[in-house]
Amino acid sequence: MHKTAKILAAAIFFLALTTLQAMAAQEYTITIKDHKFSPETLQIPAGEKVKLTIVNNDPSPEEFESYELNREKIIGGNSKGVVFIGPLEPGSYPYFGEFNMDTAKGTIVAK
Amino acid sequence: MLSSAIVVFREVFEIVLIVGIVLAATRGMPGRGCAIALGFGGGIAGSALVALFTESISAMAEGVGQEIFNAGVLFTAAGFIGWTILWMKRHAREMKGQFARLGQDVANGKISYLVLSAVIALAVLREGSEIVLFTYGMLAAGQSPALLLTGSATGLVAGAGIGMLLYLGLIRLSVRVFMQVTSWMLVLLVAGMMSQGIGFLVAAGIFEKFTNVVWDSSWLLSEQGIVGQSLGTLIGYTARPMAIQIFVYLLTLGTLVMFMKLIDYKSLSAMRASAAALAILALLFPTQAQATKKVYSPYVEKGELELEWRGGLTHDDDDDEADGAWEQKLGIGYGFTERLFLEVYGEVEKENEESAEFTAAELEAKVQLTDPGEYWLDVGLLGEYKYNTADGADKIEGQLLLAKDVGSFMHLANLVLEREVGDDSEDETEGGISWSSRYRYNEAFEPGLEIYSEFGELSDMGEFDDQGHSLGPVVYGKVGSFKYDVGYLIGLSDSAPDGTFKAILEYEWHF
Repeated sequence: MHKTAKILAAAIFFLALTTLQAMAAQEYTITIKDHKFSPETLQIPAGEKVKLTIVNNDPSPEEFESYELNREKIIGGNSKGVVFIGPLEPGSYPYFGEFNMDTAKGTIVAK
Repeated sequence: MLSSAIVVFREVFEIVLIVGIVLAATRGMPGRGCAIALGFGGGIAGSALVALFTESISAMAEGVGQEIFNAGVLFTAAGFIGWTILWMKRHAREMKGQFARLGQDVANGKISYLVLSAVIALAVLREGSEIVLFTYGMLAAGQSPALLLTGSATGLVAGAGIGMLLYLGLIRLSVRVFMQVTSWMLVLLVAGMMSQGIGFLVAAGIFEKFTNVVWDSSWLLSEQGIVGQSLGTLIGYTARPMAIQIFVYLLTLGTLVMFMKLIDYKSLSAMRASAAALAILALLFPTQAQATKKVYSPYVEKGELELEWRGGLTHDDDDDEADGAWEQKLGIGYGFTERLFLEVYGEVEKENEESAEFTAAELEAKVQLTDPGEYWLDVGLLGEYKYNTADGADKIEGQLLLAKDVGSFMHLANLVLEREVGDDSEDETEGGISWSSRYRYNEAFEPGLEIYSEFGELSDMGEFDDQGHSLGPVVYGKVGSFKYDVGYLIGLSDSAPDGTFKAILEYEWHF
């Protein structure tokens, strides 16, 4: 049991080191107002991790969701949330607001 | 009117049966008549109290929460009646013996007559309260009180009459057939009550999802006519059902039928029948009597309510127990915060040549530790307590959940540790790794691969063939609010079953 415990402990320690290695990421902001995202098209550098702050200026909550980006996050009314995306291959990645799908949509372009 | 007749008939019939059995079991005992009458009276009095209680709540709810009250009554009545159907089915056989023993114990002075009275009182109380709740539910559903009264009176006379004739030996009837037929009718009734109840919640504005009307069959059969109304309470017919009503109806039906068939475990044909019944809910795959195969992601969504069904079937040429064994789990879970998701499950297993058993109840907690994409790996934790209801000890399991997106691929890894606890537990900690890789082609279709390695007892792992290793193709996807996870795992080591079909189906809401 001792030997296994040591191996497990080492593995977890190694995992902890690699995962907690937070690299500094470029920051961008998207705003929600009247159930619309702004800017509707956001350009970010490809191949880099990006920190997206979504500010919801509407009183009702919105869900930032994108299959292509593999993210979904609920942002409460009059609050903000953070979503990390990337590194992305160059291309267009559409996203939408699940609660107001007719008007809330946008694209993230990685270049 | 027919529905109240049936419900009252069935309840009264059951009461008369129970009282009859107890009378027969205590034949010749002095004063037993008094004890039984006391119990009977007590049960009736209790039911009258339930009626008063319900009436006063109803008065309070008037206007303010009438719909909520109606929904509550319908759900409670449905739950009671549903539980009785299953309980009766399970215990009907044992009842005679149990009551005979009860009678003997009283005769031997082991327990007092009071216990006899109490048993009768409880049975009468249960049946009585069901009648009360059902009546309120029907009134809530808009049934005419006059019709209800007529129906109940008919049921009362029929139930008491037939029951007494049976007891007195004046007629011979297959009680079993009676119970079976009325059970099935009650199942439809309960499903209808549940769907009506959810309709009230929608009317009250509490429930807002999936309220789109799926079809309008009022041209075929109007809800207002006599036939329509009878069908309304009998099987829950609505001319303009909402999607959520259909869903609740099928879910209730499926669940009750599944449990009823499982209790009826006598023959393989009963098993096949239950397979057909569950086709409504999911693909039925019998499963391996080991843990149902699922690779977890570390993500939690706040406000997500999830209904999950898991099934698995194994076949194995070398291991008779595993050949044709299956396991199913049904769970319901909720994302309480952005980081914490809790789910409870019930598990049913069947090993080859044995009968199906309800084997465990589980509580699972998932914690999301990091934000997706924030670090090199996304990390979460899973903890599970498995309360064993069959032979064997309880189990605790802990998993480290890891995830990573690489382009259009998503990889998951779970590091698993489990240990038995409590009585009958073995002093060993077992470990394993589960892995999943998938290509995120589109939301509805993601082909992938899963690998499961169970190393067994960590301090004494044994050789490759002693461990459980399987690997195989799995397809994932999301269609509307349904998520699926279906695959076939091939056994790589001797200890693992040759093949395992697995299927996981989830339905999500947001609150």
